[in-house]
Amino acid sequence: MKDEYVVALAGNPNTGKSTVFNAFTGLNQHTGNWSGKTVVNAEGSFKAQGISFKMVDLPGVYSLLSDSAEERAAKEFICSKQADIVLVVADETCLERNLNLCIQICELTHNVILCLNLIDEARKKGIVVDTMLLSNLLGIPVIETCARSGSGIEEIKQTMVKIAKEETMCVPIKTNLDGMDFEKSCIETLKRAEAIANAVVSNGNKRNFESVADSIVLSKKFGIPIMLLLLGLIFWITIVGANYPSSLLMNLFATAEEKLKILLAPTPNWVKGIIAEGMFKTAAWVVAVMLPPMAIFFPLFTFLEDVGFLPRIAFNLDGLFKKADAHGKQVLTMMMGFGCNAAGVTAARIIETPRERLIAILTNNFVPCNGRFPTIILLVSIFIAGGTSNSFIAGAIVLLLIIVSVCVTLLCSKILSKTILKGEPSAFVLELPPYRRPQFLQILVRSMLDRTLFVLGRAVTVAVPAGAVIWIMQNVTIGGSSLLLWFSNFMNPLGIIMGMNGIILAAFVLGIPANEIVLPILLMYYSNGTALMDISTHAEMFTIFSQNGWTLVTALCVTMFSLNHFPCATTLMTIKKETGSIKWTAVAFILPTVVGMVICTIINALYHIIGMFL
Amino acid sequence: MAEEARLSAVPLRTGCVVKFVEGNVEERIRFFDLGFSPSSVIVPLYKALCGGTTAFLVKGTLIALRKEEADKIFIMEILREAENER
Repeated sequence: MKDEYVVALAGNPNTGKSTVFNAFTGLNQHTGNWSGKTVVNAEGSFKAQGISFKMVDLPGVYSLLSDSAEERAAKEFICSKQADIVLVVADETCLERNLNLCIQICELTHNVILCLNLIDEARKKGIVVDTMLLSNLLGIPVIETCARSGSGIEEIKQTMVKIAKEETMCVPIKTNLDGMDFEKSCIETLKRAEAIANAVVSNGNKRNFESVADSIVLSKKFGIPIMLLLLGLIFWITIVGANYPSSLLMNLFATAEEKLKILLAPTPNWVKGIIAEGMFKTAAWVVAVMLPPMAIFFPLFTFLEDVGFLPRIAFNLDGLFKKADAHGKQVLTMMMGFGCNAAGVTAARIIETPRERLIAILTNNFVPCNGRFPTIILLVSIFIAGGTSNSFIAGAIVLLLIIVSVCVTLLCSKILSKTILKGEPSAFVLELPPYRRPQFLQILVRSMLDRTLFVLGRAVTVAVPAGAVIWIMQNVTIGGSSLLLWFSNFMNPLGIIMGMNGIILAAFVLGIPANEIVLPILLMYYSNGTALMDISTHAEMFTIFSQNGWTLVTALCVTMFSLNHFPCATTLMTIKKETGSIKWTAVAFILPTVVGMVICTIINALYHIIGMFL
Repeated sequence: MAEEARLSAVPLRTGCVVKFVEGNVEERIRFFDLGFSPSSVIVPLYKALCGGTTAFLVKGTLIALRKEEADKIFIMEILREAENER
């Protein structure tokens, strides 16, 4: 007996492999609903009848014979004999296409278990599989599961224990491939998969919900309007829902700051200043401004992801991306960017060709991540839409800004593919997975833990030292002017040209560690100047910003620069890691910044030219 | 219809059978793995707004291909009866 048995988890994309992985290991892993998401092997462990197992989640692949990075990785792991058992997860609703991989794995190793997942969906479609016959035809144990509810998982564990104790022997029946070349053996394997599937699957031929839903969601007429409507609805719910909790948190933190100041009364003024007015206040702003919109936006977005809507958006928009000479899967990386640009950059690994992957990486920052969403939503709410009473208009304007960001992404992709990254668009294949019933509890837990708290935690970690630095810069004077004033004066000429001012640009520069802190830095700076503590409502924020010289054009330029400027430090580090090149990291920094500068300068110039005639 | 045609030319909701796939071995194997192998039944179901990207029902799954990809797949017959398969 070994101390630990290694189980490799293999399977096609969209078979619920990650859910099976979670059901075994309980490890919190993000499970998206599109192909090739798992590009890094995740590991987890579990015990069954006192025996320890380590499970390695291999990338989701259709076969082991092609030459993509994922397929090579999966094949190498299985061939390396590191795994004592290979658990192949197959989607029972389309067994034939899943059997191909299972048969290929049976050619390479012997301890193979076939897990027929998604039996609930199969039953709904009237599909029944004769598992006994399938087991006999393959020579390996076959177990049906519904990983979402956990049914069948215990049975697989018992089978694994029997294999570990050598009480069960797997003797996979090999395909006769003697004398065949590579291609012929591929076709022979596929034929065997088809023959086995025909023998064991009985189809109910029930007309399902999917075909009805897809005939609307994927239609030329309704596809894009439905997508825009859904995104608009999400933004509107976020704007309306975030307002009240935000002001509640602001009030709460204002009281806490007063208490903190009383507590720090015996300490010197500079200690009080750094801790209460610098570190605490900036962190409090970050939480109050960021938490409510994120806590609403992320679960809603994760819901769309879980249902299987995102690949359909990719399908509907593919024509536009093709026109921009970009890869169809870039839409998916772009959508990941809505969550976090660093995650979007990593997700670009699903694009096989280096040229198109680079385009996806370099343009990912043009879609606003969650760190920038609250800034945009807040500025749109208080300046452009004129208060919360117009939440519908605010939602529509945010949607419009997103459309602008997608257009900028397309335009820059086109420019890149015509200049420094010349080439033709490569093959595009996208699986449109079945709609899945969302698991509400899991959506809440995952979006709160994986996204909201993770991002917020990172923002607060950055905000605390940044708050101290800003307080020091604001209060240490050289030649009668504070350091911040020196810095802001230095940035001022550029800021003015771009419709902003020096202090706003300084806040963007100081916000490099995390975009979330740009507005909190400004609010802290402004509130210190006016000694105003209570900025809990949009009207009060409007007053503060107006008192500090903000106009509609300032808000518009800040919003546009927030959409188009250098990526945050985490994203830059991820780009460096993914491209392995300082040159491309520099391009990723310069490209959006230059685009932002140009857009802001044009907006500002237009505003002044129009102003001259009015 | 028994004549040879490209998959991209097949009308929507009309089933057809794959005859062969163009391209180098790597490309062909990739198509085979996705279900576009000789003698497979394919039904084009949805077309994207522009650019000719089409979603095909193949072996129980919807797979979207750009027109350039669908051009590489040649079909040998059209099965009218497959129209209402989904």
